[in-house]
Amino acid sequence: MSDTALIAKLTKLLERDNPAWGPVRIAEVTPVFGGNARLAWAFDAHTASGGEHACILLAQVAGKHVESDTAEEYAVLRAMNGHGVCAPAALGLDTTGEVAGGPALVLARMSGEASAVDFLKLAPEVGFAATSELARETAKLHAFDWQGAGLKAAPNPVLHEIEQWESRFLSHRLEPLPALAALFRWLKANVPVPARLSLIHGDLRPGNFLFEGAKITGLLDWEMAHIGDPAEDIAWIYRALWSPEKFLSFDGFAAQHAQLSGIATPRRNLTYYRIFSEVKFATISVSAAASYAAGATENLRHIDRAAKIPEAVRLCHQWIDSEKWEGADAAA
Amino acid sequence: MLRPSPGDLLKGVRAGLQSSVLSALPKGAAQRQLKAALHLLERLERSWDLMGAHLAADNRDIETTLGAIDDAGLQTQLAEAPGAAPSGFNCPQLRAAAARNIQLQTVLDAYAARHNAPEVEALLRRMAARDSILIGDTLP
Repeated sequence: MSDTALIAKLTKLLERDNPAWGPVRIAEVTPVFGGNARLAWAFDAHTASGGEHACILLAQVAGKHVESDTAEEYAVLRAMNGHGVCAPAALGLDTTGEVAGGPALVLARMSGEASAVDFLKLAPEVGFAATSELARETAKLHAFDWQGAGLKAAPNPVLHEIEQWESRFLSHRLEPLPALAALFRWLKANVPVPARLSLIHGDLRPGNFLFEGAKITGLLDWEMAHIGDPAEDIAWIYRALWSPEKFLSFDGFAAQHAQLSGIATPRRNLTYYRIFSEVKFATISVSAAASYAAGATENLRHIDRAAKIPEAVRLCHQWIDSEKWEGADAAA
Repeated sequence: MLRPSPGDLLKGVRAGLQSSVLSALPKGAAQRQLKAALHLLERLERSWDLMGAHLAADNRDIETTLGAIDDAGLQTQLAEAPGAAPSGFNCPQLRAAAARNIQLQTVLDAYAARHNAPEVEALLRRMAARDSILIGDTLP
């Protein structure tokens, strides 16, 4: 599609979804890196009243390894906007793929850098301050009144999330992977009671937030957001591959989060979600391998993702052995 | 045998691509693809010749563990012929072992879903440890 055609469709979308802006003018669009699962274009939208809005268009690509519902992501962002959560303003939704070929969102473009590699290279004192800031923003998210904002949860959201991932695993696995299947059974048999049901980002980690020095300027990529246990986000932030542990310990982060959010997450929930995180990461790896095997993607980062599974399973066994699980709360 | 060995060839290809191709590529999609390929080549260097021993040990362990369980249905399933072999194997013996491995894992997965048996849990953990060796995470 030419830039001219894309601009015309974008203009129409923004005028439809932001009637208060009046006529919109977009001079140019610039392709930018949108991650493994989305195409992205940066642009500025000018309104008749002289307003200028820095925007980004994010469109799903075919063969992505994490299924997501763009309309749900848009609804979550709209619910949060204006409530103090560090998330981009949602400005446009195209569920049909008319604008860019796949379901797409237009979001306010926030300043800052997203690179996980660069984040983890910050000087220790800056990294500590930035990770503490991340604990603060995570706490604000988890304290957000999602019910008051009109969001809904599944009847048993914690178990529902596990079942969703298990369903993805079963439908994408290229071989039985019995050890991973057994871990899903373990997760379902040991579901803890959350200290609070919160809006969970679902993929919060270095690489999915913007930072400028020690300041966190925006939490990105809300396509896996759902209602669940705050321990889930904390555990995911501290997965070994991208963990900010060298700046602030896992326990230190959890303590800051508890103090700032007022949510006292039990130790066992945190360990449980470290196990869940590994199972989820392994499942994403299973999906990525299946996507590559099916010819749905040529992204070579997916080709060998199955090799990530053994380490995830090994860590699960280690964490299962680290706690006494009999008499678990069994929220299920 | 032929020298350089497959491991040496993989190492040579990786080193050549890294020194003369990666440095010539601008940042972007092509460079990301090459980096991912180099990462895979490096893992294959560490693990290309481990599959035969892995499949033999895995099949033997699953057969022995499940074979000792007093369950007529399970024993019938274990005695059935394997299905089609997975793609990507050249050696007929290795291809047969891979087909048997998929079959045994399928039987194990179904049994483990119905029975919470300590010997099966222990088997799953031994399999996970073997998988870590297979992919080159742990030395054999």
